[in-house]
Amino acid sequence: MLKKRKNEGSTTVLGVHLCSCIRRLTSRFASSPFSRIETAPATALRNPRLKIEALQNHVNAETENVFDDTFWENLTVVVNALDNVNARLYGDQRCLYFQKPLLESGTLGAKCNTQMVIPHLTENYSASRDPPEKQAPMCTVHSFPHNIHHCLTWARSEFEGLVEKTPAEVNAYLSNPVDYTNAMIKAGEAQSRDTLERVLECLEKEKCETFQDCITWFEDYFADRVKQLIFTFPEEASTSTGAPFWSAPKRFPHPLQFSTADPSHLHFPREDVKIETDGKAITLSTASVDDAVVINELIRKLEQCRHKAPPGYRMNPIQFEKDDDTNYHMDLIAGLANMRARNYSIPEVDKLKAKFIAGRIIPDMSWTVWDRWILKDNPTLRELLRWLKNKGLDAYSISHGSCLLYNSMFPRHKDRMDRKMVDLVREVAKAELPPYRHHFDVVAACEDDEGNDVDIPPVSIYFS
Amino acid sequence: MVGEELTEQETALYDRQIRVWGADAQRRLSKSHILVYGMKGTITEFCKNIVLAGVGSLTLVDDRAVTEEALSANFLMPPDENVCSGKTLAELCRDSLNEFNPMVRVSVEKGDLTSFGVEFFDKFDVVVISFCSLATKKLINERCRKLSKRVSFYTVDCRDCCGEIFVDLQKYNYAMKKLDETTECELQYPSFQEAISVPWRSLPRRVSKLYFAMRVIERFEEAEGRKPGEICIEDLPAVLKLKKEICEAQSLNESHIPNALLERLVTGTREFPPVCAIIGGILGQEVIKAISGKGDPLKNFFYFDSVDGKGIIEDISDPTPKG
Repeated sequence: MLKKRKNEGSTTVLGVHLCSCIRRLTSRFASSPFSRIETAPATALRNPRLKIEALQNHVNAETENVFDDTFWENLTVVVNALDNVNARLYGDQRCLYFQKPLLESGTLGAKCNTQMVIPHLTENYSASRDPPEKQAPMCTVHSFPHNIHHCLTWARSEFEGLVEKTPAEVNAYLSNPVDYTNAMIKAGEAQSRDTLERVLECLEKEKCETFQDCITWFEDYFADRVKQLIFTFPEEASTSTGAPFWSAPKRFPHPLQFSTADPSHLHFPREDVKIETDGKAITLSTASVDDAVVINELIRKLEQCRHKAPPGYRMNPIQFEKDDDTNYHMDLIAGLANMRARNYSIPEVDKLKAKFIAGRIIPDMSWTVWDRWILKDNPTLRELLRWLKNKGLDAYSISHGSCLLYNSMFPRHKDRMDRKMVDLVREVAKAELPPYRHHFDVVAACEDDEGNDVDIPPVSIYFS
Repeated sequence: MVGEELTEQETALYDRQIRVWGADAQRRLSKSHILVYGMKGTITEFCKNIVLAGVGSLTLVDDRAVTEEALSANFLMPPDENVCSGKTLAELCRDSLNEFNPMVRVSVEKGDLTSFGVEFFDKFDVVVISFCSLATKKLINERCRKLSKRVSFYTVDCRDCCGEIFVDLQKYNYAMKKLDETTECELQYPSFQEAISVPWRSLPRRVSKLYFAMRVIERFEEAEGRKPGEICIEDLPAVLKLKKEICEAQSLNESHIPNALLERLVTGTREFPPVCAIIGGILGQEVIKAISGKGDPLKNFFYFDSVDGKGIIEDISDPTPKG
């Protein structure tokens, strides 16, 4: 961020992250980030009348003792060269308050933009938000990828879940079991249950210690799960309209047979990464799918694990760092993505390309806290579908937990159209809804008018 | 001379840009040789861009001594006047550019560019000339075209707060990417002479006025035996008269070229640093595209005017195939 003071013809340069070109221009090969700021005054030599002051402090709400009213009031114009939106939003608010022009800029790969924010003339920077970068919908990433971006998004998400988020949850539990479990009980939702399941799986299963364990892990990801999917949706499966289920852009997957002859199968690193085996998939008893009951059961099992673990035991969550070539993070992600690509006959990529694409993906798949959509008045299935249709969404599949309530490709599901959703959930999903419960959640898989998958939040259906 | 693969040092230094255009493009850049003539503000911006990007070598030609004008727009000039004395513009720029990236061989070639033979230009993959007369532009362009290998040719001129780039890639094949597909494309570029010979009345009405205005100034300076940029407000009446004559010969209404625009070009002969940065940036981008073979190249004129902030590409070529 550059800020020009008026009257004195001086410039204040802030922040540690100068853009790449300026970095190399002013630092002349200095590699430490601090020297970039310090060499900024050197540019003043080109124009001796220009005074430059370089400051290391971040500009945010915490440094308002440094960047106080006097600082802002003395500025003529602010020029941005930042690397994140939050800093931009903060700066924009300050410029708005102190009525200073802001020249905003940004680059991404070979693209760039600038925006002029002029007091009393234009809207301010925060007045409009870029649409979020189009992320692939969940079902595409989880089950129906058709390009390497989907595979990388999945790999990135798996990586984060496996080595960062779940170990962090485990530590949160171990550090304060009572508060943690109470919070889960209080939330009592499908997501709490999901989280607890992962925590338990992490604590309960053995560490991946032998080569055999790693092969088992490989086979789970790239053989067993694929076999499960193609069992449910065989190659010749068709939709209710008679069209092939596996038509473009869906690609029919094939399970991979682990082989030491294939070098890419051997690329999965074991150092630094705690990989859990998943030899047997967790089978949920469909008899009792009520979240609250399952949560209590999980907590009970967690207690057992905790007592078995050595005192003070903690896991080591690992944060994804794509630029460190010695940490094997990119190797793992590229490996996962390429094996998945191989399942789906998608062209694979080299590690460099994977690094570029992975760097742009914001993995937020299974851990997003979404708003819920709410539908009241005890609707039937038909009314639910129509309600979604009115939003421009063609729902082809409705499920509750892991149980399918409706799928447009099964003709016999048409009989369910005029049934109340609450009855379907009780009968088909065998859900036990206690007297104090007035709603339940369903997940709807939808397409838009052009047949593209659209991700929507869970729908809460109120039946009383 | 670099080997076939990028070295570890290169991969580390160029890491961010390799993510943008790939290791293969970086390799090609590191093997490329660029010739540059006329070390003014825009060219220095261009040189900074390609030196930081990591071309193989850069050869500078400009025997002029440092002037106050040079100091106003050329950021490669050292501020200490004592350092400047005795050195040419090219030598001073070379010293600064070497510091930006020691991995690029920056050197100076002394002498009159127009006197170098065809074999001299054979050493280069890209030739960029700036602030040259009409005759020089045609001459250097023809020399580049005489070679059996393709030498990409660019001219660049910035006056007042606007600028022009001309591109000649001769016969250029590349893979054009559209969504998930790539199609092989071939572009046929006219030479500078061929381009400016296209009759004005056959050009679409919306073609940038700058194209015509620049041609008038070019012709004026040549007719009067002036060096490029050797023009001032007193010349304006003669320039307007020349404009009228050219327009008549081209069957174009003379109001098509605004007098105000010609006045700007006649008085504003000094370059404006922010415009140098923009034009130098676009030029750098085009040269990188041509060397790497990635990205749709500009064909064949580019205009920028900070008065309206527009960057415009004009394709000025004769559509009729030559017999």
